[in-house]
Amino acid sequence: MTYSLKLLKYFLLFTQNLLGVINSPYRAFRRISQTEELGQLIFIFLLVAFYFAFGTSIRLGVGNPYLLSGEFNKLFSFAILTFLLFSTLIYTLGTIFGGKGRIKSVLLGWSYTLLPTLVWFFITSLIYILFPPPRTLSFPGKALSLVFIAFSLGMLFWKVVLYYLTLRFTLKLDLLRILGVSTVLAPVIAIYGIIMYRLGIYRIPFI
Amino acid sequence: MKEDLYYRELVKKMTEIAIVTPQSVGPFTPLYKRVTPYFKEKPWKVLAFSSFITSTILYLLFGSLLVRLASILQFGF
Repeated sequence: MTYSLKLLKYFLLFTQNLLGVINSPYRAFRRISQTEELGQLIFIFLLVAFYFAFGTSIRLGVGNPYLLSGEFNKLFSFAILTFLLFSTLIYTLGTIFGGKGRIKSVLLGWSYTLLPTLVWFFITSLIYILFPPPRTLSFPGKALSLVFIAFSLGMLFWKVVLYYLTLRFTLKLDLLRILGVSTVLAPVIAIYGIIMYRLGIYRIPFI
Repeated sequence: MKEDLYYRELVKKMTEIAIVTPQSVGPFTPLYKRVTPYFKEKPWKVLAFSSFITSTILYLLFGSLLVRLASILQFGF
């Protein structure tokens, strides 16, 4: 298969899974767990790169291209490192808790859990332009805060559902074992978030 | 029979379903089976509803603290 045909195949798979993750995540993750087409990751990370280019230009402005590209490279590199770190951690913990699966499936499954993260970061950047913080205690301020918190919770719940499905299908774990993995993983995420904040990389970790 | 298209599709579907063993959570299994279908198809309906209810409850509990949290999160991207 030629390079462009392969790329088209990955794009179609990505689109199919993207729609699946939104509309019927259960079926989509069952399908994702059975494929080994890591090429789909290209499109997920293109979206991540696009977000960081967008987010960085909003934060720093487009006046200083050197500062902009430096910040973009830093954020994008850490996003990939974070992705690899947590995929490996989930695979290792899942295996310790009795899960059976392949690292390739975990990488693919975990990559699709980045979608709620991406949507949250994109929308938050847009709201930052349209309604710059801080929010006030006026009625519109309270109303927007309520809507923004509801949106953030919605993305968090969606992320939790996709995380559960990743462990359920790629490592064939049951709910009890998933809770076991999560108990170990939650403090790691908290510590990682604090480290990233202290290093000045992410205010909210891109997980 | 193995040449039958419907038979092959049925086998394919059964294999797909059997990837994971059915989930059992002891006495909570009936509740689990009642709740999970809402997350399997078009989960955004239940996610939107539950997030709005949760944020309203949080606002009633914490009041202006939620407004401060929204401001902090808005700086978080």
